[in-house]
Amino acid sequence: MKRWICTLLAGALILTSASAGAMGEYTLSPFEFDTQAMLELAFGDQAADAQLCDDREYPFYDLNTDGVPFCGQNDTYGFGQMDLSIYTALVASERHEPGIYENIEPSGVADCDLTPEQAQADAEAWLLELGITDSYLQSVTAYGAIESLSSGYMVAFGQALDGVPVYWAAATHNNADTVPNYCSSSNRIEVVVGDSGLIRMSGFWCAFTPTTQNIAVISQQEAIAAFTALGEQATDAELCYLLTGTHDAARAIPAYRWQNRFLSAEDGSVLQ
Amino acid sequence: MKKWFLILLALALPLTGAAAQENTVVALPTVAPLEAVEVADDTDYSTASLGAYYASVASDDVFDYQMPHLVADEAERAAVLLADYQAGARPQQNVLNKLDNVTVGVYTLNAEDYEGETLYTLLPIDPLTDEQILEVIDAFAQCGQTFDPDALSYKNCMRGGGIEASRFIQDEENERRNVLAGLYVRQGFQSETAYTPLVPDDGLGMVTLDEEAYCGLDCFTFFPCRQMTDDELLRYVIYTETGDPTQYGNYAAYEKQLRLELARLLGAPLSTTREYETICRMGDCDISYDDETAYYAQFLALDGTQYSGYLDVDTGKVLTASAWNDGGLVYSDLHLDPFDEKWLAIAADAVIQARGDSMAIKTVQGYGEITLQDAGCGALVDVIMEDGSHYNVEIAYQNEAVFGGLFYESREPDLLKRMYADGIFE
Repeated sequence: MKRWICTLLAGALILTSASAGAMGEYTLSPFEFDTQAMLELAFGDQAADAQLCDDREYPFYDLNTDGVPFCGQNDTYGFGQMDLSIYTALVASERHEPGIYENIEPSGVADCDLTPEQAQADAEAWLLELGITDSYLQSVTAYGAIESLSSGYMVAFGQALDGVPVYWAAATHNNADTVPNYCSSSNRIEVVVGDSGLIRMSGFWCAFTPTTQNIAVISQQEAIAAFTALGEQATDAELCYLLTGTHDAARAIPAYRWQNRFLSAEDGSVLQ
Repeated sequence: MKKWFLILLALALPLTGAAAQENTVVALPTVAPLEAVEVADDTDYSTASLGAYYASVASDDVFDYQMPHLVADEAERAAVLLADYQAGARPQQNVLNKLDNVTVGVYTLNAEDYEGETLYTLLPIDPLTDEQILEVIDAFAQCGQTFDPDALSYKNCMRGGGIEASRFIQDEENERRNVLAGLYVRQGFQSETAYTPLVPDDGLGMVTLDEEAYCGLDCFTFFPCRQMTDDELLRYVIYTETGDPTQYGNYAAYEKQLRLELARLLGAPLSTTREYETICRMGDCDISYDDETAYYAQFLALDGTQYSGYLDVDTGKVLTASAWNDGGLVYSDLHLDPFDEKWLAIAADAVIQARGDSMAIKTVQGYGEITLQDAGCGALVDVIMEDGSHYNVEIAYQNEAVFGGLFYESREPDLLKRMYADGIFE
């Protein structure tokens, strides 16, 4: 309970400071996860035995066996993102199948000893070990509706910057067949966990370097009025960062969001 | 009489003047040249577009064994094998005009329909064995020709499933084919002559392929390099129609019942246009079903929504149905809580709005986040009706509205429960 209150207070503090206008513009680069933590999460007490594979352009570790467990962080593609992959031995020994919708428990509670609250707490602790301090919870999904499959949870986190969410511009997600180096994935990490522990952790994350600081932002009311002037029936405007640019020069700019439309938080001009 | 003569004479005078002006072009320097009026007609019954297709992929090594040629090693061996053949060597199998399960085949053509070509060669995706090359040489020899690998081209050869027919069927032919399919199935129209799978008699032909040798392609069709007649297309329709002929007389009644059910279950307007129909065994279309005989049809509404459904012909009930319209959303990077109560309300409201009856909703359940085609993510909601039927509703996060449409199941979907019955994918 105390942990929840602390989390809520911390979240409220971040959001308050963000809405006060402490925003800037940033360039993006791949976030470097803590390698030792990554190895310990992937291999447990066999972390010391992990071997760095020499057949890839990025750090990738395994136990010199085919398949799991393995882990790696790949910065060779994406728009200034790091692609984290941690697959533990449980991937092979248990049947969690988080990608199957019919396997989701609509109640939100999986048929296992682990509670959704504990799954979230465990996942948050692992993110901290990896060096992630700027995440926010997106959802907790319970699995195991199909009796023959293992029960557990997937806890998903988005990335925040200056306490507000980051969103990729639609233009960066163009068809991979026509736009090389398109931005393939959200800044989001998914943690799959069950009674036996961590099963899989994967996702994309960025590091942000400021280029302009202390940008004054327009008020939420002004943003709503600007959306309305565009013909949108906006009832809200979320302060956030829009991630945009190109593969080689991705950047974060302060924005207000209504549904899938974005305005510059600096001057109200249309971004998307 | 004199009056008529004068009238004819008066009419003839302007014609004389027109004739006198023929081929006389007077260029007026102050008049801008008229733009040429072009009639948009890209219909092309030749093999030219095949040539363009192969040229577009020619530089990619991946397609080397799908190009209409022998690779260098094969061509070298063909020269040796040709000498062996001339010395008396013979293949074990005759592949000339081979019709079924073809790995290698050579087909006689009528030159007037095939741009002067007289033989067509089908080759597999795998490197040719000596025996297979010998089979080709033998087939050519039976036709009085000497096999020359250098003469293979898109006009007379297909390899490895590179293309499914000797030329691209044209849009107008497809449209006529659809009309003729309806006339055959609904009205019992028949062709004047029966379809034959070999080409020489009428220019049309079809052979079945060894799918492994052709990257999954199961048949190859010969279309003449000219516009096909209605009768030719009709016999092609009859030959390729896979429905159950004993059901054809019932299609109109099935369609009517399906339209009524789509209106009741999904709110489909009556004014939709039928685009496709067939009879199938339901288990072949959806493995969560069994031996139900189903009439399937899809319809297009004026607003672009596509409705489709499977009607159990024995019970008159719809087994599954859907309404689909992508709505033109662009990508959105939003990830919200898929278990928020508001998604349940939106889904339930969508079903209530669509239903043409007063059936009550039993329960509404969230099934987590779902990826929406080209539009980011959203929430998947299952709306369960009083009679046990289900609606899968996808709701886009970005506009908090139903994405795509509704997917109706007459019973609880158990596809994956069947697939994972023993905890492993079967």
